Amino acid sequence: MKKPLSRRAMLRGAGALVALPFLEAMLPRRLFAAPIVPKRFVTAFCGTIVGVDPQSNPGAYGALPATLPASWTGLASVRSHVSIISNLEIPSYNSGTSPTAPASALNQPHGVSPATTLAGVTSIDHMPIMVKAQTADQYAAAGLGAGAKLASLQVRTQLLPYTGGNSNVWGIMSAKLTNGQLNALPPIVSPAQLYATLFSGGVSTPAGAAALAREASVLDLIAEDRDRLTASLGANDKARVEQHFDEIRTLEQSMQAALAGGGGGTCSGPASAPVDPAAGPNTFSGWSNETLRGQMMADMIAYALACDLTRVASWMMTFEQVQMGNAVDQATQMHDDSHNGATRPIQIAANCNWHATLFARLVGKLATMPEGSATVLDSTFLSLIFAESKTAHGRTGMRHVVAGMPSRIKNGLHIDGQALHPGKIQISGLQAVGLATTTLGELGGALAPIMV
Amino acid sequence: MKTVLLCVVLASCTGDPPPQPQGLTDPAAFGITGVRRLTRLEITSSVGAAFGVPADDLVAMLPEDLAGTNPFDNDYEAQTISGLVIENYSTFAQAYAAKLAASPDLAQALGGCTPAGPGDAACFRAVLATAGRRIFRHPLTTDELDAYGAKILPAATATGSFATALEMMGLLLVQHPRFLYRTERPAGDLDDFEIATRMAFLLWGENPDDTLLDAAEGGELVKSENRLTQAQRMLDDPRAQRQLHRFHALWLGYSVAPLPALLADDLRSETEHLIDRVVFEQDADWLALFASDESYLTPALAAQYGLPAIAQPAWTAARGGGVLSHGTFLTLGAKFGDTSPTVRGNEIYKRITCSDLPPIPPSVDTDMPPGDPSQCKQERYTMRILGGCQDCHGIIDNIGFGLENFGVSGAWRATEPGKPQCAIGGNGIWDGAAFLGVQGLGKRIAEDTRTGACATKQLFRFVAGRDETTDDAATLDALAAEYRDERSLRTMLTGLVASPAIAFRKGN
Repeated sequence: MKKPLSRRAMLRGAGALVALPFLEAMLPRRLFAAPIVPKRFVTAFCGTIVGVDPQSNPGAYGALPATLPASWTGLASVRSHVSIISNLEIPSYNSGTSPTAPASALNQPHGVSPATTLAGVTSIDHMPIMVKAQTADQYAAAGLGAGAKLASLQVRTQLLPYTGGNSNVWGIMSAKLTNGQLNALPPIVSPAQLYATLFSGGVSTPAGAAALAREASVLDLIAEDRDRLTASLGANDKARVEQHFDEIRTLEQSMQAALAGGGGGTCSGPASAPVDPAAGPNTFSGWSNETLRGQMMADMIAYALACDLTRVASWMMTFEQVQMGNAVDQATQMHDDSHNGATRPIQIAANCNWHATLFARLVGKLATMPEGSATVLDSTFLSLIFAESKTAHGRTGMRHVVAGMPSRIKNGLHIDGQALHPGKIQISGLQAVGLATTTLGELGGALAPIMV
Repeated sequence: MKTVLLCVVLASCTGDPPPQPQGLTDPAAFGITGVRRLTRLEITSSVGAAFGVPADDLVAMLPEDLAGTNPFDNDYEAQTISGLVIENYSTFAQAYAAKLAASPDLAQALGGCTPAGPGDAACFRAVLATAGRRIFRHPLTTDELDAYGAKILPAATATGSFATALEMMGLLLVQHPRFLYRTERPAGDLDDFEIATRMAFLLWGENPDDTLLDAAEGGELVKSENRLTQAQRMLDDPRAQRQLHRFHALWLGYSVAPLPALLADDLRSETEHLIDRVVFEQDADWLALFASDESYLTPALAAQYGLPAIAQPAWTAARGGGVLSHGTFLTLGAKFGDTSPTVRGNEIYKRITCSDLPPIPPSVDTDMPPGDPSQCKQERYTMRILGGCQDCHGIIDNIGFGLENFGVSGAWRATEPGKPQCAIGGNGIWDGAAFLGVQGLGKRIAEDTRTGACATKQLFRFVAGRDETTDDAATLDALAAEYRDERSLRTMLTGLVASPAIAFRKGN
């Protein structure tokens, strides 16, 4: 029998949990329709290519075909809710030969794609913060996030870099400007941690409510120490620590809201917490059962959106230049596959479809979650962005996927992107959720062909 | 420097001011470092030591340490805050607090008392005073003890369990910014507790222990000779070994190297034993790490390397080149299904000489194997001699070729895998001069003045939690000179602790 989750009970029992798949049974049995339906914004990122033709080509522009090509078969169950956009293009820029860079151009083969597609700015090197400028999801968070437990949620499915190195900079796709400082936003990479972070809905029982009240009480106690701690700090240190205190106060207020019957705390919770699949070795072609991790995350993102725990999610399925094992048998790397289009078309299509399948799982969940007379998907804009096009390092003929928000975004189609910049997808999404956004970084204007 | 240290000890007996390490006598020798947040490992180590309840199993609940521009996990400039990060700290605190509440002897261990009931104020105060001092790295004031008790004890009374008080105390302390941030005054002479904190994180990578806090409370740490005494004690503690293992693993890049699961412990053990021997047991030339002829092998590792079988772990006269011949380091250089002289050479060049190469030109496809894969590597890696390529590849590839006798797994090989016609000679070039094999490379590295300067620069970055700036030039010069004079990492660490720079903060 499902029962409201006690976050504390889950945490206490975390050491003795048995491995249970995160399945349909873990979805909430009821969702609360908010008086005003919130708009939501989701960006998913894949660090690989979509696959060579014909595996990735949906055919003629217009309605998606009854049988999708190999790279997209995972989208079949949500065909009517998604559109595949082809013929998108990121301009290239060689600073050694061109005096002026086109808007949001690329000048490196790797580690820079999110700068152009998610932040709309020109990449200038392998950047420590690869996005380089505030990403679209954070513009969405600024416009939509107030009132939810988390203004935005960052999640990554690929557990480790699998490069043999220790750098996680290519595993971050979200950044926020705060007081002129660009802050990379690290994602949650553990399904168990994601569960613990999101689902504190223990207010449905007296014991759960009491526990949450104690947590809120302690956070309030911490927040009261703010002046005492920061009074003796220099200006720069003070600003950093005060930002931390600000976030603590936000968390405490969300707990108070849950106790008062508002916010996400009123949703019924899943019956049990997921257990993280075992981590694999951090080797080339490494694998930590990212399929199951991704499924867990898709379900929890859906639930978080539906319960208004957050309205904005960035989901990095795989790192830029993904060195993870392929989606067939993990015998080769996804990235290495992309350089062997002639000999590994099956793996390449499977790799793309692996991402598409996870995306479809999220879209499908949202499509089945009622919200008033519609569904959660109807008020959610989603995009699935690939680092490269049909071939390794390809910047022309790019293909990406959008879903949801049918009142503003065309669904169920194969759309000609008219060689426009894929970063415009994010501008379209921001407009679709009701924000008056006309620019993103160096880019201006929505991607007109996808707008209703 | 050893002479200097002896003088320091003698000075502490005679009352004369102790000599200071050359070049670090300026209190403002360190440039500006902003407020630093504890890393994941620093958090779990600190709370585990403070409460006596391990937190290692919960490390994944903490936010990832973001990589900055240097190899280390503690670059304060890469540390960012978001609602999600705060949630991570909160969930970690809840999980750890639950463990504290389930620890039956915690009140006795921390407060020396057995609670008479759920609202036993005296016992809770004793527990909180001990735990609070350890976690906040400073004694709690009477007002703080009163305020915390006033809020927590009623909740414990309400539940009828003293464990509730312990749980709330854990929630309070381990996610409190006062714990998570190493705050210091804006500028000027630091107080004893701030100094204790710097010392503890430098030498142990965690909060000060009771002995160091007692010294701070007694006002002892503003004196150089007292810091030196504490440093010697701390360097004899296993936590110092753990800290230097961490430093070297991050510096040399094998902290999360793709080690084979069944051999990972053996491989790490080999490198950590060498660090311990060079730094702690022999107090030898630090850079013997790159030239040692001895290696600590397990039977499994000997088999992996293709060396004569041994019955039990032992030091053996091994392959030379110190860490350069260890599987931990060698695993870093894999690409295209085998070792890559380019990758290995680049790792050595950037990590051990701190040298930079220009950015890879946009037109270069680094994902395609060089040359015809059917050929031998010596023929394929033509970038070493091609115009436009040789400026970089002539440096790094020629370093990497000197290690080609070691496969990705560290096993010795005389020919390339699957190519018996491709004999490997182990011939390389370092800084324009030829060397042969890992022994030759290790010797050249250990002798190169760039190596000592780089090692001390990497140490500085780790200690300062940031990249160096022009303000740090004198400090870097002093550290490099100190290494040239004394060659001892241990001496360098004690010198840092004894120097006035550790007791002073330069303001903006």
